Order: sequence, then C-alpha cells, then structure tokens
Amino acid sequence: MYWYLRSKGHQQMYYPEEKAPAWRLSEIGLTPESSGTSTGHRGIFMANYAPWMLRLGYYAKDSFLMQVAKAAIIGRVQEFPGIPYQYGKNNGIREIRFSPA
Amino acid sequence: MLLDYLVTDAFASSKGKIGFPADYMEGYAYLQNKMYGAQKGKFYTEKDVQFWMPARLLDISSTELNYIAARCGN
Repeated sequence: MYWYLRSKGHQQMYYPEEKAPAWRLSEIGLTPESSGTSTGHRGIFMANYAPWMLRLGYYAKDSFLMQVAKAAIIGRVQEFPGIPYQYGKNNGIREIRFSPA
Repeated sequence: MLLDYLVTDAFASSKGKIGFPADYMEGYAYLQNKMYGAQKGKFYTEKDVQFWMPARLLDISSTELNYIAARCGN
C-alpha cells in the first residue's frame, strides 16, 4: 500500500480494474492547487479559475473566454475523478456515488 | 468554486441585474474564489435579496439543471 495513505491509517481497498480513454482522466484544463501539491501523490487540480474566466469574458465582452470557463466547470464536475487525479486511474471513481472533491 | 461559477453565470446572463456582493474565499490551499451570502444582493428591481442555498431546496430529476436561489422579505 502506498506509504502516504498507510501513514494516514487507510485500509487497503480493492476495485476491479477498468480501461478508459486517456482523455477521460486527463488533467488538461485544470490548475494546480499549489506547487507543493501539484506533483507526486498529491496531484491536486481544480478548475477554480472558471468563475474568474467567466467574469473576465463578461467584462471584456469576449465570448470565447466565457465558453472556456463553461467548458472548464462542466468538464471538472462531470468527468474528473477527484482532486488527486492518481486516484482516478480507474473509471470507478467517475460513477455518481463518488462525489468529486 | 461551483457556487462562485453559478452566481457569476447568473450575473453574466442577466447582464448584471442579478448580483451578490462577495467575500474572499480560499478552498483547500490557495484555490481562491468568491463567496456569497454574507451581504445582501439584488435581483433585477428587488433590493436586499439574501443569497440562500439550503440543501435539497429543489427536487430536480435532471443533474444538468443548475440553479441559484435567494429570498427577500419575510
């Protein structure tokens, strides 16, 4: 078991392996939480820039930026498995019963 | 993050007629967004509108319909 999770007291969990297209689990379009947590086991990515992009597009009258914001928020909520994208190496986490962080 | 987007979406779609004053919010570490509800906002001609999003306010059959809610008066 991964040492970081063991140190937190997690128990080993098993889930059947699934195959998914790479784009489903891609972190493209997401920004990292911080430099320290953007690599390794703590890869934490969000689309928190989306509301700011929407505001920018609105005030700049730039519909492209507004569309980018909309795509970011929908993509992040609909498809992304969770803030640590490593946990999303299988599609199981994409199911509706796993609430995305 | 989500509420910030939804409120901003309402603001942009209504061309500023729906709006709520925001406070600074930091989610997790350094993920900054605006937070709403500490001050009253406006809904077209209605003033002093309180942003109000209790859980399970609406029962919607589709997961693709988003909403924001507010209350005014009594």
